[in-house]
Amino acid sequence: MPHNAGYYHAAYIIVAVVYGAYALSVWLRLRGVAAHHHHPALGNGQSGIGNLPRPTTPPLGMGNRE
Amino acid sequence: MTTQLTSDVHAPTAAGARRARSGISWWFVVAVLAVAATYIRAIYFTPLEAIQGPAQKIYYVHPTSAWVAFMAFGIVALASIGYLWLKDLKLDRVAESAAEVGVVFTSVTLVTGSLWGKPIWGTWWTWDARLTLTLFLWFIYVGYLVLRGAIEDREMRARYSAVLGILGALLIPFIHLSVYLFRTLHPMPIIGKPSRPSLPNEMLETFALAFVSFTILFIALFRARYHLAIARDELDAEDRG
Repeated sequence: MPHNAGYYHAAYIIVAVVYGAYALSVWLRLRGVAAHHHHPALGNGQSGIGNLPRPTTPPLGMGNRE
Repeated sequence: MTTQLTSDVHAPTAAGARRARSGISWWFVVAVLAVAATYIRAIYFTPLEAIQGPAQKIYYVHPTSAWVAFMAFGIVALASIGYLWLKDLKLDRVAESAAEVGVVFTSVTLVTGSLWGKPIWGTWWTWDARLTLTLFLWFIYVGYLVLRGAIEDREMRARYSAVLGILGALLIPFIHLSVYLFRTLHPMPIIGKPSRPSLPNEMLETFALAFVSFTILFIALFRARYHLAIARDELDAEDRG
């Protein structure tokens, strides 16, 4: 039997990392929008993306129009 | 003073903020538990395949991610048709959310396929019909997301992306049938075929668990992304108002 377990270990780790990172990105974007709902001009007063100024033009990629 | 004036102008809605926060739900808890159970069963309780060895265990995450991606793009197409017919922005949000999650699942499909191809075929990538068409599908829906990000007008964005979303999904039947239509390296379906699945029961049960787990994960991610789409539209509406 071939010794190729490293490939499936890598695959399982990558799967977990990619889905986890995407879930985290959605959560962070939700937090950012929630912060704007509370304090549209200034963010929520805490660290994080809620304090970033809203860009005037949409950045390209992944539907991010915030 | 500025904060007060701005707040009055934007009139932040409690419902909007609540919706923006509510995307993370118990669906995520169930999804994480289900995927963890799949990993444990696949790693510790599923036998090794005699010829391919341990690398065959990629089977439990590769086609399952592909099937979920196809389902996501099918939802994009159906929601897009619905939008063009009814002009209901809810359907556009459904399409947008399914497309983004579908791109993530397609990315995983391509990466895990490459990791499986190296030990079995001896190469990370080959311009095989199924691989190439899947890559093309990925590019189409990345283009779909870029298109959405590039159009300011809400109605125009929904209309143009609906057309692309429908056209992209037309590739899915070709991808599924490509192993029959062309001479390819990619193996024939083991489960998605008219005859009985050609897998031992232990492997089949693990595959079924993986399929259910990734479907639940898709639902969790899709719901969260849909909440984000609603919250953003509300924020845009407040900005315009």
